[in-house]
Amino acid sequence: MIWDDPAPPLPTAPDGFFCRSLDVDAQRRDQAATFIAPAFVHGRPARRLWPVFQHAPHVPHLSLAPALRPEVAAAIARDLAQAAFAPHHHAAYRIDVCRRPAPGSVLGRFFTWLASAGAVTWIQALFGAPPSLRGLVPRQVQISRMVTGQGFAPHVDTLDDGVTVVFQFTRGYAAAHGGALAFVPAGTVPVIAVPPVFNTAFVFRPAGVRHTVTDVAADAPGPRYTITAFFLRPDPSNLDDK
Amino acid sequence: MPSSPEPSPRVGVLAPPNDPDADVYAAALERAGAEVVRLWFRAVPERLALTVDLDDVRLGDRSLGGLRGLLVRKLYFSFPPAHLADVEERNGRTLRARFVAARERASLVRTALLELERRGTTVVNPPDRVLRHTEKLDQAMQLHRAGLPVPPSLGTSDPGAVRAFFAAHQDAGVIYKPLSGGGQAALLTPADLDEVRLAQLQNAPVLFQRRIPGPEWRVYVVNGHVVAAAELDTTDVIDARDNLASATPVAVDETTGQLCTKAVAHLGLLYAACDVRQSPDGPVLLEVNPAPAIRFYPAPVQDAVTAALTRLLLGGAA
Repeated sequence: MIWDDPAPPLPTAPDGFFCRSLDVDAQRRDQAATFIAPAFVHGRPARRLWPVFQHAPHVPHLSLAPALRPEVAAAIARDLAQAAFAPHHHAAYRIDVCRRPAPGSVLGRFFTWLASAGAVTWIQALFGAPPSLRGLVPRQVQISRMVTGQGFAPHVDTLDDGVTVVFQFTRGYAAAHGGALAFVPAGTVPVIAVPPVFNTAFVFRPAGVRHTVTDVAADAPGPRYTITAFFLRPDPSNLDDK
Repeated sequence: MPSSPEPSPRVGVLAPPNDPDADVYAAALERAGAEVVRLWFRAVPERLALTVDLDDVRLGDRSLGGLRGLLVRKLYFSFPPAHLADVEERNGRTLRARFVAARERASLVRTALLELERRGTTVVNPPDRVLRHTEKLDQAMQLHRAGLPVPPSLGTSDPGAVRAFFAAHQDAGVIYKPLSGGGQAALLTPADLDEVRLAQLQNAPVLFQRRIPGPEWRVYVVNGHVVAAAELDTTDVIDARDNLASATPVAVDETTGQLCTKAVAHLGLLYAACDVRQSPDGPVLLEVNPAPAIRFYPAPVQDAVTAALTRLLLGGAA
């Protein structure tokens, strides 16, 4: 008599472990859900977003709105207003950056999460984990501020494949106030212009993509704040360390 | 003619480079005059050679043969592998190749540690006994067979067995946790008895235990003696680790002390931390940890434990 059951196939069981503490994917989802708006963590079916992203005109892209939980976005905005910014170490980059947000702050926790494997899992899951997004690592997270007169000349961030997410924390800007993320394949005429709208995120494929940020006008109601995360395939030689 | 100074005794600490508990242990050893060698076998064999022959154990071109003591804080080898990285980070184009590589690597690392012990190094604790810690139900069974009080326990993948266990212990409640460790204990609720939820047991079995009420004591035993203990408040938490901030030193009574020293001896450990619930019916052993953390506990506890452990590793009595 044989008491084992060697016959395939395996019975179908619901995904996951009874001990949730063993389920790393579930933990990472929970982690993402502490920051990201529920629709972009638990939304279904994620796979539909991938063709939308891929076939977007000019540059593969997608906008998320609202991107973060409202209370999280508000807390980060408060932390950004208090954070220590310094001019970028490349003088040509007319922006201020915050390199080390306070660790216990919401901004600090969001920064840490964006630099973690958990954030990669989130961005992959957002698109239904397509094969094209396998092997990404969190390459860089940049907290930046632009005040009157600052902007960013046309540039290319990286030649590596992957995804860039720009989280926006600017309030009250009209088109005339500037601060728009503009994609300029050639010259200065944008094919896409992303206005700085509070609690939105712009997701795009950055490889070789030329873009700029328009100057912040003198009458802008306050600084332009963004947090930009790069999730790329490892090839450090291709990153322009801005 | 002046004699040359005696060299410092060399003691190894086996732990990941960023392990803060290993830092605490290493600092105490250094204060006692030991030369501490931090070891971690993760780079073996891809970036670091490990060699064992009849005469020596060598890591790269350095001999490990002269180690007076070796504290095993964490192991990064076992077969089957305890960590996905054990397989993923091995060389090999296919999963099968990496799996085979992990098996071979585990065999050599384990042999190296066993050989160090045979050559006279005080290994705390011997690797086979540390690895048994991943068999939490088996440990409870061993302690139960030795006549020591442990929570009624069940390891199963059978939904019916879980329902029956829940019914039998409804008065106190039931907690569940991973059989091999690596996760927090949680309270089993009626919602968990749902058919779909219990079907997840087909993916991995689980350890269920009767919930034991009362404060939790962490009792440190070194070389057969209780050296320090801390009490954790378990009000409003299932897993006492969720309340580490409440840890305060506690004097260990004779009953609890004997329970812990017996358990540690029965499991063949030189150093261990026993997690004991002080229930209204007396102390109950939840678990005996053979490579315990220390940094979460108050300074008097840390000092007493590291002092006794240092004496053990340097070859003295605790």
